[in-house]
Amino acid sequence: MRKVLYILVAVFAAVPLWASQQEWEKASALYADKDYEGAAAIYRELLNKGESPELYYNYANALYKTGNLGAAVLNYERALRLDPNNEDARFNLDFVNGKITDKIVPIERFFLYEWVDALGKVLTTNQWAWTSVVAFALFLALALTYLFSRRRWLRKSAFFVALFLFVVSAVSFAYAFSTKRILEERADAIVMSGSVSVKSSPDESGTELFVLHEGTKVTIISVVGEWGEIRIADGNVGWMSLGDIERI
Amino acid sequence: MSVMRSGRMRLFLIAVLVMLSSVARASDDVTFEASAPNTVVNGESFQLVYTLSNVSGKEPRLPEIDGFEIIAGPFKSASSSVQIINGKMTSEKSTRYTYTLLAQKEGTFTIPPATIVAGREKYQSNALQIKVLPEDKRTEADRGGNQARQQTSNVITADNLFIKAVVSRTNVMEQEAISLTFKLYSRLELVDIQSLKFPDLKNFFVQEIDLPQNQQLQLENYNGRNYHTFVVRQYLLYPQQSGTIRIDPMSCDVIVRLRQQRQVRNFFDDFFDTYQDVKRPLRTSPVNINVSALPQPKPADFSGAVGSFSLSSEVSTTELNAHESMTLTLKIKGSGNMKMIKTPEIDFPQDFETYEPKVTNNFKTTASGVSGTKTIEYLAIPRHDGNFTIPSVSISYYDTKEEKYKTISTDSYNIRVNKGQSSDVQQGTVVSNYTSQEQVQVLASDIRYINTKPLDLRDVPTVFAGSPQFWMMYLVPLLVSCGLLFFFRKQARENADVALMRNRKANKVARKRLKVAETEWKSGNKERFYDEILKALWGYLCDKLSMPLSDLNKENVATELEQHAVPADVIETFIGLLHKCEFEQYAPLTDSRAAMDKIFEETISMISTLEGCIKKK
Repeated sequence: MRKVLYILVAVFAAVPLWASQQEWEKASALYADKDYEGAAAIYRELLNKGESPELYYNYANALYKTGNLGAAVLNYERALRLDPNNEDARFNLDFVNGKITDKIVPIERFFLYEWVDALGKVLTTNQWAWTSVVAFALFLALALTYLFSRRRWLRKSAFFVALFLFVVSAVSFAYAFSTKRILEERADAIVMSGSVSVKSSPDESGTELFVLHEGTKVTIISVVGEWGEIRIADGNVGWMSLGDIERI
Repeated sequence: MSVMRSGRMRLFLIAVLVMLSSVARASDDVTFEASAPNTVVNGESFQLVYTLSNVSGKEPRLPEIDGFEIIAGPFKSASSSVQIINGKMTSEKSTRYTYTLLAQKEGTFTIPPATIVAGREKYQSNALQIKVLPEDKRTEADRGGNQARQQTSNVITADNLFIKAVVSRTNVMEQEAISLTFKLYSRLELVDIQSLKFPDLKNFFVQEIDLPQNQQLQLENYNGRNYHTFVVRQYLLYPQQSGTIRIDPMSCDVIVRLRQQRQVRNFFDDFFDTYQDVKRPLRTSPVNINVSALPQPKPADFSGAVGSFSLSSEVSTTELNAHESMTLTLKIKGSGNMKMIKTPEIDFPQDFETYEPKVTNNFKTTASGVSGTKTIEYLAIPRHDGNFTIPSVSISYYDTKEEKYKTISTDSYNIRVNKGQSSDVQQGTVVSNYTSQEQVQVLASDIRYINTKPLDLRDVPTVFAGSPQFWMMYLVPLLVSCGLLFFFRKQARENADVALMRNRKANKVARKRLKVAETEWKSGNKERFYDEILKALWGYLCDKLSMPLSDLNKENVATELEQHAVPADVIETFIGLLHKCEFEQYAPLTDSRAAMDKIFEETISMISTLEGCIKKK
């Protein structure tokens, strides 16, 4: 009797999973048949149940094929938010970014900043956190080895490896928290309206500073009511209605 | 532009035509032609002329003519001409047989071909179609054909001279052809039309229809009266936008010949009629065309073609050798705005060298639209062998009959390209030995394909960094390490101070060695004390250097220590200490106690130093 109960529980737990899988494959078939609208609708449904970088990526592909550039950019960015190392999403995002209206030349930054940023995208925030934890534990083990071992070579190598691991742990710790901040703050957003004017102050009567178009990425610095202060890649700052953008 | 009255002009024309044709062709080309006006009025007489060229014949035999009565004829007249061009003489003659017919019924009638016997041959004329219009229905007085017309022909009214813009339809689709005709209606004798001003046909794609060079006046029944009509100009219009489009009026000055009316009629009046040419400005009234837009959504490849078309294609060959040429011929057939059909681009395989397609248009423009064929020839030369596919091409158009968009496409062709034959290779050795490397060409760029791996749907992921578990992962190992450190702290502390531990260890060894010496030192036995000190020093060295005591003496100890990397000053002190001990052993010194104390301390520090030095090796 108990066995049957277990099996039933397992089946009921698996059914929604299995149904999602069915939907997922159906969407892939629709996409292959060039019915991008249909595929996008299924992906949208699936996103109500949960999220995954692959799902965002496929949804973005379908959106791009139906001509929804802004939404496609948003979903590629979301895929990359979950999996910063997703090469396909990175490629397609670059591709679609080449098709949007606004071409913004990012401000030149010192190359070390770029490197530091790029390194942060190698692992996800949880991977960074685990790296830090494991490196710290190994550091402690080696520190003890250094303190208690009687063999000179062991003590010597343990000392240097422990030092290295400590640095690794500290760097991973920093990355884990910086990527966590990006993930939770969701400060980056994509312009979803066809054309939005950016104002000098958070109200409609503000001076129009510049105009952004669908698909452009902005960073929200602060929020006042329905208005957000945003910065674009070339360093320009202004205010725009939060209704025109969607957070990644 | 001048309007010719039919009679003399026609004669002249025929003469010219006959002459031209005879120059071009052999002069003995016999023709037998019938001619008559296209339209006549019921109850009026007209002339039917049969012309026989280049041969003389007997009287023609007329067929049964329905609807007409022959009231006179045939009147025979002959003409001949001789021409000398570049010393070559051509002569020709023609005979005209003129019949006068009277139209008896309204309707359209066909005069069947007539036959004539000339020489031994029998010739047949062409058939004619004549439209018989009803009589004028104005007043009883007007009845009576020519006479009535003459009576009314001395006043210009809006009824007997006007110009009209005639459109074939006023409700059309975008891009659908309509014809626009400016037609002059007259019951008077026309002389000339001057200062023509045509409207600016904006919002239309305009195509002018060529009119015959020497147009004849046609009879047309309009509002119950018969008019001579003259087509001033005719257009095909393709509306380019939807909505109501106005065609502005055209204007011109028409010169008509009026018979002068005299108060006093004299005898000569009838013989010498006097005429006056009167100029009269005329204007058409504007016409509105209602253009409805093409339905949405338009197919992606729709380029504005409207009408009905068919598409056929053929390739010259499906199997050929590399570097040979092949052609793909597309034929677009149909009617509609043929000129708007774009030349479709064929996606030949990359390894095919292609050239600009050759387009041949064979269009016929009539008042009902353009029809005909557009032939497009694509020349391609495959440069590599292999199996290739020429994809199909499609054209979208709006079918005005079925009122929907249609897409027509060609077949796709599989082309097999073989390697050039051996003779080709020999002929082109230079070329074939030269292998050119090609870069992989990027034909188009697109986004990468979707992910097809099974879905791994996650709930919104929990962030590990900063969570209690995360901190625990640091805290637990840290506490464990601290505990271990606490329990083994003495060991750790000793391990941490290397120099001290080494010293301690060395002292231990030295003290152990000097245990016996110490007891002698306490008892004050001077000789025994120095003896023990020396013993301890030698024994320590033997153990350290792993050498038997017999192999060691004062002479070689320095070199042995040097080999174990003991610094020179330490060796010197060591040797000095040995000498001091041997000297002190038997020296009768009074203050032996102080000397013994000094030696004992020196020995301990010596062994400690050596312990450090030798161990380093």
